[in-house]
Amino acid sequence: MAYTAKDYNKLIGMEGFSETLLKNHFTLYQGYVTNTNKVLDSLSEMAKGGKIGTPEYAELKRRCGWEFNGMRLHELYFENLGGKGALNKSGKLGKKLAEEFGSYENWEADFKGVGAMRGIGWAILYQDAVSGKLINQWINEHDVGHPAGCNPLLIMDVFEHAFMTDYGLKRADYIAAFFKNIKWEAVEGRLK
Amino acid sequence: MKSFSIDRRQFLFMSGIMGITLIAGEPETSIPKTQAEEKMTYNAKDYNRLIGMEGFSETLLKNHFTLYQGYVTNTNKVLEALGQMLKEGKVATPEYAEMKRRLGWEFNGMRLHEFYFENLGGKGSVSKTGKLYQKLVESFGSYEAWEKDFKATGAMRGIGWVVLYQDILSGKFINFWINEHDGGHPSGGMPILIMDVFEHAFMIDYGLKRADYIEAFFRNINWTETEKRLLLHKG
Ligand SMILES: [Fe+2]
Ligand SMILES: [Fe+2]
Repeated sequence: MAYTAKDYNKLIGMEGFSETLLKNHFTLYQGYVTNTNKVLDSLSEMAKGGKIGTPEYAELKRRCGWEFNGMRLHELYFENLGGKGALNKSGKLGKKLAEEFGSYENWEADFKGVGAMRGIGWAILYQDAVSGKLINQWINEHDVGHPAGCNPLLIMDVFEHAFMTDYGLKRADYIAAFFKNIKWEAVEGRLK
Repeated sequence: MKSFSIDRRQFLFMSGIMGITLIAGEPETSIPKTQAEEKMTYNAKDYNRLIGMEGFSETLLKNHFTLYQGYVTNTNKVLEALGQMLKEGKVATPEYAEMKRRLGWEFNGMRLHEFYFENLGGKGSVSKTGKLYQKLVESFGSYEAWEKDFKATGAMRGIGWVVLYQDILSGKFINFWINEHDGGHPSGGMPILIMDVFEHAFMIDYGLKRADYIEAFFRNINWTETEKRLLLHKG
């Protein structure tokens, strides 16, 4: 059961994202798909070959969380891009954000604040599947800080490759461009 | 029993890289700082001399210097905030704990960039009659074997650094992968050659071609500098 890279070429032309940046980003994404498959294959080979108690097995198992999330988060990210226009504030998500954060604007300020944190990773609006609560989460690199079993709604990449080619060190400008291109229907569709 | 000692030259080098400068700052808060605290502010060093290095654009280097300065500023900020919390009796708070965790990241972000910029700007290859060359051959069988291992470490999937470390106790040489700035440093090890493989270190000039950046890095190593870092008392 190998994972296959999806095609996000439809995003090329998005305002504020150069073709070079997007194409590099797709290539990086494909690398995560390839390497998720590689790691999973090697792990199952090792399991079959009775090599479960080895450091090689342990380190690949650790790496699996990084590669898998590198794949999945990029899919969620590209899929919540390519939209036009702002969130419908009287829709289900708009209401829920206002309920949880006091106002849509408060939520946005908090989400952007997470995205501006010093470090390499992702900002994710998560819905706690148990309580329904919404939380903006910092994910370090791809794998650290995911709340167990929660539902990722809006995903923003803040690795340097996500903006440096177009914005240099101006991460805030990239975040503003990201917000102009959010596909809110997709985000809303993820609500449970 | 083995004991660790450093000679005078080593001491001067180490205090030099500590980068602590004497500055007299006004206390910003009502709680007065001690004299020692006022002196302990890190200052960003100037690496503009590296501009013009073959294979490194001015834009990339200037952005890199700005990022480095951010680490210096934030190391100071974190240290200052921690000191403040200590005085105010807030050490048992989550804020204190998280700042303390972050300190290793900011501090190493500062220090590793200093080592990195300082081991750049050279011309030519390692001196085959030098101590470092000799040590690398001893540890890896040949210089080429070391270089292959160092480059392979630098090509690893991930964000971080490659550091040729000399183990402070045994004197042994090991190429380490450092995740981000803080994951995986060998305790007390002496960093001899440092290569940045964060995306900001190469993407503007090389896109996804990290291997080409690594080649350019190797053409610009300041081997004289790396030689000075050796712990000579270790055989
Ligand atoms: Fe990415
Ligand atoms: Fe760097």
